[in-house]
Amino acid sequence: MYTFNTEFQCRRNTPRSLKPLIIMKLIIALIIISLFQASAITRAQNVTISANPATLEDIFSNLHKQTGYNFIYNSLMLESAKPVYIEATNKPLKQVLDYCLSNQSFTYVIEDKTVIITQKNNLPVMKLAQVVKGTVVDAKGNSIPGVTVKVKGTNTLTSTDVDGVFTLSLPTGNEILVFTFVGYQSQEVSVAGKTLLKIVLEEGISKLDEIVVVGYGTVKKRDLTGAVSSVKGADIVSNPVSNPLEALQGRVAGLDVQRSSGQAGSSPALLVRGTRSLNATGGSSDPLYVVDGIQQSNVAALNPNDIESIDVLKDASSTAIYGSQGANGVIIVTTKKAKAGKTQIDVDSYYGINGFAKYPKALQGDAWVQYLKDRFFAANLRQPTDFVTDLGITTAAKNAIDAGQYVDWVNETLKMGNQQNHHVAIRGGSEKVQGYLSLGFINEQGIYQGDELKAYNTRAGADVQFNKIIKAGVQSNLNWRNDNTTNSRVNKAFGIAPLGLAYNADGSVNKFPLSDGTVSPIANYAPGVFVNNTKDLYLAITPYVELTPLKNLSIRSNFGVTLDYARNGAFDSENSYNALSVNQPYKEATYGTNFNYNYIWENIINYNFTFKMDHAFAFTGITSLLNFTTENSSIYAQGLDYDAFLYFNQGAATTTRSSTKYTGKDLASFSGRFNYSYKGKYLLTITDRFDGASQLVKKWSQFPSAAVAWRISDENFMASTKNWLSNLKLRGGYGVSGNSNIPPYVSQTNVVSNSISTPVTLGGSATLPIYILSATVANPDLTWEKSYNTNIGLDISLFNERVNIATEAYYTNTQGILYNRVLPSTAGGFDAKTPYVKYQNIGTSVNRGFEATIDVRVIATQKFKWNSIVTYTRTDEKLTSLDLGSSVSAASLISLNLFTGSPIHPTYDWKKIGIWQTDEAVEAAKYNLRPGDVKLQTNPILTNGVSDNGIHPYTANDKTIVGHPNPNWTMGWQNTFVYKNFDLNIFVNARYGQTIVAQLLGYYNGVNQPAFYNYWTPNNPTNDFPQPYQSSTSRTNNNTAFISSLPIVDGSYIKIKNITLGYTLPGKIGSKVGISKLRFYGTAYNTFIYSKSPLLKNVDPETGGSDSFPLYKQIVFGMNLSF
Amino acid sequence: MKSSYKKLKIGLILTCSLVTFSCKKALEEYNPSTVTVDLAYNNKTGYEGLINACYTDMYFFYGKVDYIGPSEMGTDLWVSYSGQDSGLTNYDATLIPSYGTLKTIWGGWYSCINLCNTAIYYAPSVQGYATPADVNAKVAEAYFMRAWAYFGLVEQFGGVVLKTTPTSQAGIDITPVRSSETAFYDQIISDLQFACANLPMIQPLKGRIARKAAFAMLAKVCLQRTRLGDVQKYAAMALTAAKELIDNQAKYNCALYQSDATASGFAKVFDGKNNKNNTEFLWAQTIDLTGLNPDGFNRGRTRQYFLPDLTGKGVDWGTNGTGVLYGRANAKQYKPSNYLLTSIFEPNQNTPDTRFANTFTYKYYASAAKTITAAIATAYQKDPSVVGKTIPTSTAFYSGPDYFLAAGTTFEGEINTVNDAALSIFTPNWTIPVATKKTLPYMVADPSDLFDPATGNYKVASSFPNDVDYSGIFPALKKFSSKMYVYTNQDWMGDFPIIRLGEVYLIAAEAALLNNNDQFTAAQYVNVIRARAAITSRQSEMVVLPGQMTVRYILNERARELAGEHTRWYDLKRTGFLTKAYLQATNPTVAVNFDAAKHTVRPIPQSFLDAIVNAKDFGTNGY
Repeated sequence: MYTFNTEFQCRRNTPRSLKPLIIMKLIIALIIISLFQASAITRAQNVTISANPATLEDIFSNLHKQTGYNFIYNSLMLESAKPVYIEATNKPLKQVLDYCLSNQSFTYVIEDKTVIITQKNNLPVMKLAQVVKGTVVDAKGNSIPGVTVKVKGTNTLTSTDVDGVFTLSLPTGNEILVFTFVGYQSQEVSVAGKTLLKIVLEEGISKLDEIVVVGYGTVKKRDLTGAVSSVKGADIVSNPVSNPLEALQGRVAGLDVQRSSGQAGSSPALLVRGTRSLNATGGSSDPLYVVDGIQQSNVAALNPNDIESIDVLKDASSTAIYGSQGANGVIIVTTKKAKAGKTQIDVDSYYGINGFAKYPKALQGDAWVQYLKDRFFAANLRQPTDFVTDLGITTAAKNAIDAGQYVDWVNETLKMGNQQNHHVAIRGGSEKVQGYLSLGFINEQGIYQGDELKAYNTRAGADVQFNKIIKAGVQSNLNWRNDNTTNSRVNKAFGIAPLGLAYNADGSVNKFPLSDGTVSPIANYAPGVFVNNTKDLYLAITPYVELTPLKNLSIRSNFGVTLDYARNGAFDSENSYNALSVNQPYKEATYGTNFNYNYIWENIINYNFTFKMDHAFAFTGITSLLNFTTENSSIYAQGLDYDAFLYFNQGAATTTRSSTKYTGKDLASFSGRFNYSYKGKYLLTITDRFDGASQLVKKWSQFPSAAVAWRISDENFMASTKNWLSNLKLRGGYGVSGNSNIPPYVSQTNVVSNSISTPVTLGGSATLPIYILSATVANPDLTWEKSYNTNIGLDISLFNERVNIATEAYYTNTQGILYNRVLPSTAGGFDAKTPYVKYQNIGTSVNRGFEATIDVRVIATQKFKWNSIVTYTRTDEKLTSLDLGSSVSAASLISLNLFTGSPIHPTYDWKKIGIWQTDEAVEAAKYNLRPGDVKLQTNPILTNGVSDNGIHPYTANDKTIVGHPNPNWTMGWQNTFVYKNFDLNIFVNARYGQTIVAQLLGYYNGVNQPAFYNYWTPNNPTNDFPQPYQSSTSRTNNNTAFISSLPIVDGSYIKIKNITLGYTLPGKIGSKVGISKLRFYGTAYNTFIYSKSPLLKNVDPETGGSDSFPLYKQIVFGMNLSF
Repeated sequence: MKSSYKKLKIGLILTCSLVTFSCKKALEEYNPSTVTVDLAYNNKTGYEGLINACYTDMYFFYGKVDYIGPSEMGTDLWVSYSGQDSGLTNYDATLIPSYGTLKTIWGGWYSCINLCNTAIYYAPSVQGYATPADVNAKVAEAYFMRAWAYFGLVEQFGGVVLKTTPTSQAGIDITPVRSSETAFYDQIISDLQFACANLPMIQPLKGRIARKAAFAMLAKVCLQRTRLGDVQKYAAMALTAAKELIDNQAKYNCALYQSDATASGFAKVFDGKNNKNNTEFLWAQTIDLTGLNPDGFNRGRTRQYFLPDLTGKGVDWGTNGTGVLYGRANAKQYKPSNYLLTSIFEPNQNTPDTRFANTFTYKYYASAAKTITAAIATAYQKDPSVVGKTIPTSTAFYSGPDYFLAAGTTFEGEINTVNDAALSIFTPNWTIPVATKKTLPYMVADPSDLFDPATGNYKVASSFPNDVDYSGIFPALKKFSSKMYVYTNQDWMGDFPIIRLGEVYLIAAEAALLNNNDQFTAAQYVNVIRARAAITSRQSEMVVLPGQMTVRYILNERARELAGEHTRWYDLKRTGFLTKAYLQATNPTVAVNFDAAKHTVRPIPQSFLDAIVNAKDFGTNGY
């Protein structure tokens, strides 16, 4: 581990409460003082001393001269003393002594103007009133050795022995003892005359002392200057997920996590503080992922059980150390490491079943027939007299109706999926060598047949401390994924008559369920007709070496290599759905590979020192070199003879086409960070980074940032609030981050061969060579997109950290937004449908937001605990200008869906405001519409200065910005209840204000449509759905053209994302069989969903409206076991 | 202590210099999948790759939905099926800058132009050709293609942007300016004159432009140029170019198909057997049968857009929409107008003119055997005598020889076609007495069934509650749907003519009239075309007299000859008949919204307006 030690020397746990000002504390202090010999020096026995450095003996001698105090010590003992650097002016003697001995193995007591120096733990003889003995145990009753026991307000301390037992002699027997141990919450116990104590320490540490991982180092939360949120491993696995990123949902203010697909193995979309980038190419708004200090894109390859913590860097001052890479936020994943000591074995396992029992059905039976009749009536204004001629259904369909052969295609398409994750990890080692190994297996079966994922994961690593100076190690991650995917099918259920026989008599899938040529939506479920399989081997190896030539200096070199080799094979026989639909008479197969190899080489130097006690400095310097390379190949084959070949005999095809491709890019960086802390109260971080990106023309740029923090609660004038205000910190930061996240080669104009995508033979037998200019036109001015971010944060801890509040407000101004701008088509194009594009720094945008995290230990008794965390995020993004090359900003670019003054990708379409009702026939006629037609909002047209007040037939000019897909705010609410051995976790999340295009509302007026559609008929004057029309030439179907307005709805929702109930075996029982922890749990996912729009009651709006792979409800049972 | 500092220092310096060195090298992009522009285009291999690329855009036009609307719709010949493509067919309010198909043709033409400009730019410097003449013969293809593209642009969009330098050299112009329509024509004609002078007589690949195509195109654009004035001058040029080709067919390697005793020459033009080696196609979009085309097998879907409702009503009589022969009836967009069926074509079963029968499918055979039930007889107002009769299936494995699909494919029309036994739907363009129709054991939809006698438009079912609703039933354009080369129920893999010799005769005739009202010459050319539209025994019935020769007559003759061949809108525009009055008289549905102030050009695509700084200079072209 290369941790950057910002635990400055000057910041010791010296109790400052010795000089309290409030009366209560003063009284207590006076009592203690009067009883304790240290009282002498509290009377302003101040000294001035300067040493750069000096030996302890010299210092003692100096102090003796100034104070007249005698110093008693063993000179031999002091030979092991370290030299002391100190610059103190008029400081109390005690404070100076504390400082001088802070890093030494000595302690002191003062007896009557005499300072006695002793080895630590060799307590000097005191006037003793009482001997107290005690045992310290953890929550499970296991004794804890090595706990520091300190008499509050003194330097008297001891520690527990191997059995967790301590003995202390106390002056009065009424002191307060403070118990501290790493990884446990410190506890104060009043002795109150007792002689035998039993102390139970709770796991967890003070929030302020939690370690937060920042770029290239760690920092205690109390010393943080930027906006960083942390999620601990325990929270990530508390609700089982197969993708660790999904666990971040609702836990990090400012991070929007959305799972848009229920497809097996699909990753959620993550967005930190809104969209800044305009790039249409996917992924450009993705945050940077750093796993154990190494950038990695494949976070999904991590098993959630391997994760120690995830830290999210949000503001520019935090991300600045990553320069251009960090523009969209940085997500730092730290995996579990081995520790010296006891070997730990963890086994985590769960199994869950998926199913969306309530997925909306298509119309069935009489309801469907009535729907056809209603459509006919709408089109012909008379009731149908005959099924076949009027309703336009085939005789085969008519026969099926007569025979009652109805098929529920939604039911036939979906199945019950399941999900399981099994994980074993072993960690341990000696002081010098630590190692860990974990093995994981994930199996997901989606809700379509053929949608499944199997992933095998292993992580292993070792760290060796060769000597005092050299430490080295390696971490590795191997992931093997075998992923079958299928086409979305459930939407087809609404495009086919609910009739016929889904299966043949022998149980096989009936290709043509109605024998009229309509292809079965489950045709691909027949064995062997369709395969789409991806196999992916991902290997990341990160060796490092770390030198510590000086105490506070570390130099580390990381070299990370990732290899990712994926192969996709797709096979469609002539009996597959797609082939049958077009009578495609041949088999086709595609075999493609994608080979990524990246390396990253980073050198990090950390140095920190304290100057004159109160001034702590730290410096971090980094050089970094990244290389990303991808090689692709693809072989398409058509006309294979046998299904059994799949995609493994492409040479046997009548026609094959192949292609290969290479892309590579590099990033080089130099950066430095400077930290300064004065008394731990005033904190300053300055970061600067120089980045060079190969894909830009003006390659190099600089990204500076600075942040300050003020721990107000440490100020003297705040002393009166100490009993209720544990922490009050104000933070402010400003920084620049950049974005070079554009594809390679876009700054070059080159010639490519295009004979694969647009082959031409001109009547010959072979493809002719085609050499054309690449689709991207070079931009000689291409440079960095830069975001200028200001962040103000306020951290408040109340009531001994029972309540912790972190709030952030930010303002980001992004300049020179990179965009692959579509060039005027008159400049030519790549082909008829693909205009040239040029990457250009095109516009500016503003992102504003407010974030709050409130963490409350509502109830914290020994038996019952209730912890509640609320995160709230409000974001507002706006495109402020679009520069097309003139000085005037374009207001709107409709064809690109860009509008200044709006969020970056708004929903621009017709806005449905209802349905024309029967009594509005006269008004509707002015729009060339009739009752039952959809009623849209219109934009007035000015003709010769006269407005038509919007009364005209609808056209595309009536489209408007209906909304935006970004929520106005999101909220997560996590509740953890622990009662004895039971734990209950309830997680609620809400997204509010986003507009979604719900696919499920877009199946209107098909061969069939969802049964829940409440559509208009003369007798049903609803405003939900317009009157369906039979396709007919006799009467214009006014609704068809405006169907796109129907699925656009307010997508606000609140849902209980999961409920977990767990039971942990009591420690005593487990320890008898060598088990240190055994927990069983059950989790229910997506149990309750409330959508603001009543139209969405049948769909999970979290997908943002997509229902190709609907999200499902899920029940999971699992176990955590540790030895 | 000191020495370790020293070591450290050295280490740091080494590290930094190593990193700096690597960066410099690493930040240069390595891109082995491409070559530089100069390397590619200054040598023959890359240059010919560029010339080949000039052909690719054209594949997004002919036989594609994006170009059917702009080139054929909004005319006297067609109406919209159920409101499909209504902006171009009916000039309704949906015709605005965001209209999808216009973006494709605009983008396709300008894409082609930039490639041609690039080829013309590099012609002086390209290495590897034996003589400058060889270079000229090659670059002439680019001159031709540029003329083709500018011709389409100026006709569809008016005086828009005219550029002759490649973007790779001139940079991106984000404030493009308009040029006049005459400037466009000056460029087009000069490009084609270069092509006429330099192209080879015969190209080794039939899809490559040969000199015959250049002359035909020159004739076509000169004729079209007459709408801008200098009528005589350009008509004379058109006539000269057309005459050069007509008079020297052997020299230019082309020939008109002539009639014989059993088949008309016209029938032979569209006979599948002649498709891939057609003497009359002067320039065709050649289609590779193994899918080596832009868009692969997704070709020849014209037939689908002109198909009637074989899946709906047709099923009552035994057809369905998944047969390979007729096509898949799920993307129906266009129907022939009453004017085309009954005025352009002679509505007479015994007409000597075979062109209606060879332009349209009007007999659809059953896909499956179908017994006529009483319910169906009643619904279709048939005589009870037809109840119980069975229409036998016509579907069988192919019986050859006009096919190329693999064994096992079934076609309609293979069996039971003698005496039309398996006839399922019959849509003649002549009227059959009602009493006769009632007794015919198949669906019959003749013009009296389809059209409202008062308006000439297709009947609106609600206005004729006592009639059978035949609104989805009509003859289907079949020029591009021969059984030979049908591939799937969607795709047809035949070559697609862009300009053919038959049209050159009609250009010559029109040019002769415009030049000096030479009706005699006009009649000569027209009669050649008319004569080969009949079988030899009836050719004499086709003859027309010089006195009948007017532009309007030739316009009608062009409809008979060229309906569906991507030219009608241009013809109306050229001849001055793209007017509300003409449309009202011929195809009133289309006339309703027609506004001469804007509908003679198309709205400029929104994507272009969004990409330039001076959008107001282009506006919406009046929309």
